[in-house]
Amino acid sequence: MPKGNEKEDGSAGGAKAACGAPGGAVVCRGVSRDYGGKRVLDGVDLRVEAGTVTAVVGPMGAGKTTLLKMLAGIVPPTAGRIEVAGFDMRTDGREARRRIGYVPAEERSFFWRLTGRQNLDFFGGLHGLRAAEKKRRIEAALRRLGLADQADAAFRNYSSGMKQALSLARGLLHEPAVLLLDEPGRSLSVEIAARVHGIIREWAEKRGAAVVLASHDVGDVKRTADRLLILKRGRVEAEGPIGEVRRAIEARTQRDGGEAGSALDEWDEAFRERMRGGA
Amino acid sequence: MRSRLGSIGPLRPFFIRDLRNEVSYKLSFALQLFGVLPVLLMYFFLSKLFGSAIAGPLEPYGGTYFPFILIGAALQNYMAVALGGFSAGLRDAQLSGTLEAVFAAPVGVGQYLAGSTLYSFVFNLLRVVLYLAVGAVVFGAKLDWARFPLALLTLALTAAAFSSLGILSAAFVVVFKRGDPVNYFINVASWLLGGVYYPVSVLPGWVQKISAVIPMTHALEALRATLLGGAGIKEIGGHLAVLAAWAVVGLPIAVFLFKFSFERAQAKGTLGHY
Repeated sequence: MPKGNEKEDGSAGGAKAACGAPGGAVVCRGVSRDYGGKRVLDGVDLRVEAGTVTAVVGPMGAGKTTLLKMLAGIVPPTAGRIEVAGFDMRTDGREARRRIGYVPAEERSFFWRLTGRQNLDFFGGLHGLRAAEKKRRIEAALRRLGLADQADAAFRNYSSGMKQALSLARGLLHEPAVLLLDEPGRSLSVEIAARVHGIIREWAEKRGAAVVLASHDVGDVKRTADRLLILKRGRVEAEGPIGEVRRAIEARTQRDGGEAGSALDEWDEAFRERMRGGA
Repeated sequence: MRSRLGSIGPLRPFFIRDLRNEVSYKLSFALQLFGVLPVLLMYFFLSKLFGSAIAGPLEPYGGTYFPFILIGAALQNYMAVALGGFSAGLRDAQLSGTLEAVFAAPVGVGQYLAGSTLYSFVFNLLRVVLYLAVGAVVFGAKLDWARFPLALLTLALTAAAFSSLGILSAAFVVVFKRGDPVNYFINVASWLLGGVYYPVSVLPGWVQKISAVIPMTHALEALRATLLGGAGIKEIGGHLAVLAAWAVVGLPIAVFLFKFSFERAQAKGTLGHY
C-alpha cells in the first residue's frame, strides 16, 4: 500500500502538472460561511498544492463538509475567496467545477432507479465526455472499485459500501485535477478501503492532482495524507505537514497538562492516541 | 437516433437519464400511452350525448364536439408539462438529493432547466400526436393532416410561451420549496378561460377580454383553425404572434428570476433543502 509522503517543509515536492489543468492547487483566503446567522466556518486559509493530499479533520460540526462543499462550488462563501485549479470560484465557477471531482458522503446523490453504470453514464455526460471515452473510463472505474459484477444492478439495491465506491468512481470519471472526498472510507470493506487509499495516493502522486479529504477515520488520514488541517468550531486549529502537526499537538497537550480547556478537544486527544498507537 | 441525440449535446445526458428512469417504471410508462384511449372514449360518448344541441358555438370549429375537445384535451396535457415540468423536476431533484451532485458538475442553470424537461416535452409531444391519431383513426375525427407542420410550429411556440411561466413557477420552488401559486393560477386560468372544454365565445364579454391575453386561448385557436379548418399561417399569424410575444418577453424574465432565486438559495445554503 502506498504511504503518504511527509513533507516537513510543506512544499509541493514533486508536484506534476495536474491532468492538463492550469495548475492543480486549491487556495482559500479568509473563507467564512454563515448559516442562518451562525458562523460555521471562520476565516479559513488553506493551500493545497498539486500532487499532495490534505486531510481535513475535526470533531462533528467543525465545518469539514461545509468546507468541502465550498471547494466544490456547491456552497458559496459568505466572505473570503476560493481558487481551484487557477479559477476563482466566484467568477469562473463552471470552469473550476470542470476540474473538480467531488465525492460526497451523501448516499442520496444518485438516481436510485438507474443502474450503477447508467448513473456513471449520466454524470460522465455532464462533464462532456465523448461516448467511447466515457464507456472506457466507466468500465475501468467499475473494475477497479470492484463494482463490475453489479454494474447493471439498480443503484437502490447497492449496499452502503457499493454506493460509496460508486461515488468515488463518479468523482474520478473526468480525471479531475482536484479531488475532494468527504469520508471516503465510510462503509467500505477492508479490501475496497485499501483500493480506495491506493487510488487517492495514485491520483496525487502519479497524476499530480490536489486532493482534499475530510474524514473521521484515522486510517484514511494515515494511509493517504501528506498534510493535516484540523478544524474546530469552524476555525483552523492546526495546519501543516502531518508529522509537524502531530508533534505540535503533543507538545501543546504536554504544555497544557492535558487539562480541560486545552486548545485541543476530546477528538484531538483521541486522534493523537490513535496516531501514537498505530504509527 | 444517435446523430439526432448528438446534436442536442449538453442536454443529451438528461434526456437519456429521464428516458431510462421512465422505462424503469414499466407499468406507469405503458399506462401513460394507453391512458389516451379511455379519455378519448369518454369525450366521444359526451360528444354523442351533446349531439347537435351545442352546434352553434362550435360552428367555427366544424360544428361537432369531439374534434373540438380532442384538440383541447391533447393541448391541455402538453401545457401541463410546459407549466409544471420545470418545478416538478426541480422538486424531484431536491427530494432525491441529486440536485447538488448535478451542480457539482459544470452544469449551467439554463442547461439544467432545458435538460431536465426535454424528455417530458418530447414524450408529451408524442402523446399529442397519439391523441390526434387515435382520435382520427379510432373515433373518426376529421383532421387536416396536411397542416400538421403548422400545428407543430404552434406547439413549439406554445411550449416556449408556457415555459416562461413554468420557469417562473420553478423559481418559487427554489425559494419556497412547496406552494406554487404561479402554476396553480395559470393552470386554472388556462382550462377555465382558455377554451379547452368550451369555446371562449360562450364566456361573458368581459371574461373574453381576459381570455384574449392567455396563451392557451391562442394556442387552441391556432391549432383548431389549422387542424379542423385547414387554416394557413396567414390566418393564424395573429395567434402565433401572441404566443411568440409571450416567449420573447417572458422567457428572459423567467430565466433571470430563476437564476436570481437559484443563486439566493445557493448563498443561503438551502438549494438542496426540501
